[in-house]
Order: sequence, then C-alpha cells, then structure tokens
Amino acid sequence: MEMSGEERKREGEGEGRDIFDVIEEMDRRMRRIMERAFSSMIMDVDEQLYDIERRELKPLTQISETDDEVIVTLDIPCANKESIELKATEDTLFIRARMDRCVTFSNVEFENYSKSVRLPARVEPRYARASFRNGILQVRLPKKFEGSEISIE
Amino acid sequence: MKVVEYDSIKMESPYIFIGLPDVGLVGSIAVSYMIDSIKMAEIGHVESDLLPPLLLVRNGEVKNPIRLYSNGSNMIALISEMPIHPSILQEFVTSIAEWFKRVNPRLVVSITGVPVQNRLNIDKPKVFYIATDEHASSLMRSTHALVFEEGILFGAYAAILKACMSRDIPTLTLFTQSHLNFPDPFASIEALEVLNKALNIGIDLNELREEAEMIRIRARELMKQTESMLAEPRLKATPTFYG
Repeated sequence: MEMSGEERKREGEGEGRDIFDVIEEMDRRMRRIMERAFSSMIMDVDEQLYDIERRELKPLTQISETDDEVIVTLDIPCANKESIELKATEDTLFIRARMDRCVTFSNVEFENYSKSVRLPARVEPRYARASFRNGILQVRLPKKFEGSEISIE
Repeated sequence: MKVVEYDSIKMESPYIFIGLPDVGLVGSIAVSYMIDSIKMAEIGHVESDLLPPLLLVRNGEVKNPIRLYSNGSNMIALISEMPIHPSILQEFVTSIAEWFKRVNPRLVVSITGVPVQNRLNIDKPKVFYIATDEHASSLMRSTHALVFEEGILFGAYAAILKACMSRDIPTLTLFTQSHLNFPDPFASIEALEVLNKALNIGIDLNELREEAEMIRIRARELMKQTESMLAEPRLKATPTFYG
C-alpha cells in the first residue's frame, strides 16, 4: 500500500492519540482504498468512448502483435463502409467513419466514429491492409524492420 | 451480501438463467433479451455494502445493477449491469448460491462466451457446454451444442459453477465462441437457439438479429468496464474451439 509523506508523519504521531482516532484513521484509509478500487472499476470509461464536443464515438479497440505485424481491430457497428477514412504513420493509426444512423446517448446525438490509435511498434504504413466485415474493421500493419544483421561466426 | 425478494418467491423447481458481464457480454445480452422478450417481471435484487454505490436510472425509474426476474411460473433470470469485481466475487457467488439452494432450481443455466482469435471469420459460432447432471446432459444431447472437453475455467462463471457443485445444485454452462472484448450479440443468438431447442422456451430471436448493431453500440460502456477483468488469464481454450 502506498502512503503519502503526510500519512507517514501522522503514523509516527500515533502513540499520542487515543484509540478512537486510530480507528477513525484506519476507517478513512480503508474507505480511500475502496474508493480507489471502485473508481477504477466503474469510472475510467467515458473519455475513451465518447467525444461529446465533437459528437464522435470512440470505437472499442483491440491491438495485437505478431512477430511481423501489428493488428488493430475496431468495433464500428452501423458504420458506413464507403465513409471509412484510414490513415497511418509509423506509429499511429487514425480512423474516421460515418454511421448510417444517428445514435443518442444522454441527449447527445452521435453520427461519427473517430479514433487515433497509438501503435505498440513502428510500422510501414504504405504496406498496411484493411478489411471490413460485420461492422468490424481490421487493419494489419507490417512492422518496420530496423535492425542490422548479425552473422554467426 | 443478500438477495432481496420483493415478494417471497414460491416456484416449483424453476430454471435459473444467469447473465453476468464477461467475455463478449454473451450472457448479459442473451439474458437481458430473454427478460424483455418473454416479459419477465423484476422480483428482487442483490444488495450489499461491498457493492459500489451505483444505481441505474431507466425511463425515470431507479434500478439496482444486479437484479432478478421471473416469468411467474418456472423461469428466473439473474442479470448484472456492472462487472462483478474479483474482490467481491466470492462473497457474491456464495450468497446467490445459498439463495439458489433455497429456491431449489431444476437447473441453473449460465451463459457466457469463449474467446476465439478468428471470431471475425466464423459465421456461425459453436456452442459448448458443461453439464453437472444427467438431466442437463440429456437436454443438450437433443441440440447441436458440443461437450466442452478440456480447458481451464476462470472468473465469475467458474466461481458459480464451483459454488453450485459444492451445494449439489445442478448446472449447465454454455460457452459460445465469441469476441473477447467486443459485445457479441450473434454469439448470444447461438446460445439462445440452443436453449430454445433444449427447453422449448420459444424465444423469438428475430428482433435480436435486427437490433444487433444497436445493441453493440449500447453495450460498449459495459464492455469497456468489463474489459479490465478479462485481461487476466481466464480460459485456456484448446484447439477444439477454433474454426
């Protein structure tokens, strides 16, 4: 368990306090731990799934790697295939797509998907391939080979 | 943790269906569709100080995240609209299994997914099952579901299976090939088809097929919340599951 400097100092003063203070302190600390555990459990969602200002949905994304490829899979149900724009640099994939209908969440209407995905390895964007099926877009980007040959003596 | 019943439940050995957030939300989507489709009524919820202070508001009505439904005769459904965090899983499973024991079900039917890498290229996901009694096995033999031969179970459904087994509650767990962290209503459809055949419950799946894309969009948030719990090693699938 991590402890701030302030907490550590108060810990040292422990002997001077009565038992109720100690219990209260423990209770407070326990609550903080629980809050932290649960906030990571239910809260870290919104920013990644919506851009309310731009009325864009951020698609659910899965990134995997093989020895020679980075594979990015994006869940974009209701996306219109013709509208999909894909761009890639050596380390980022950018996607934008229009939906075939308007979707409302908390009184905000969304019509587009957009996301930039940071890639886990450097790739050759020119040789990337993409497929779109059942509302799922899969992009395969070959990794850039940046090493030098090692000969065996 | 305890199950709060709105009226005390008197049912002759019901079937209990469980849909918890897990792989591809296969169970959540299947069981909540079942509830809507055969118009089951809310009969209770799970309450505990261990649960985060979370309530849902639907059409102006306040709802608990873990709820129980019934069709009034022989079916009970348990759904959760929040992932069950590993730190409270044991407590949760023990209290619902104790409740099951009291209700004395004919069968507890758990619905979940088994992630397959090539899900994108599978048009008709296969359904595998684990049955812990002869009645459930014979039900499954009348369907196209396949025996889950070998593998490791991990997570909420494994805990439920374990808790039921130790209390002699008969269980059937369905595992449908699915996406790991994308909501997969088409996998839910396959699981419900198997149950339609086995139990003659006549759930009309057309609406689920038509609404699948919208369901995928609506389920994004729950999928995202569930994702972090799926990151742990959970179910090591043997090659049987592929293709």
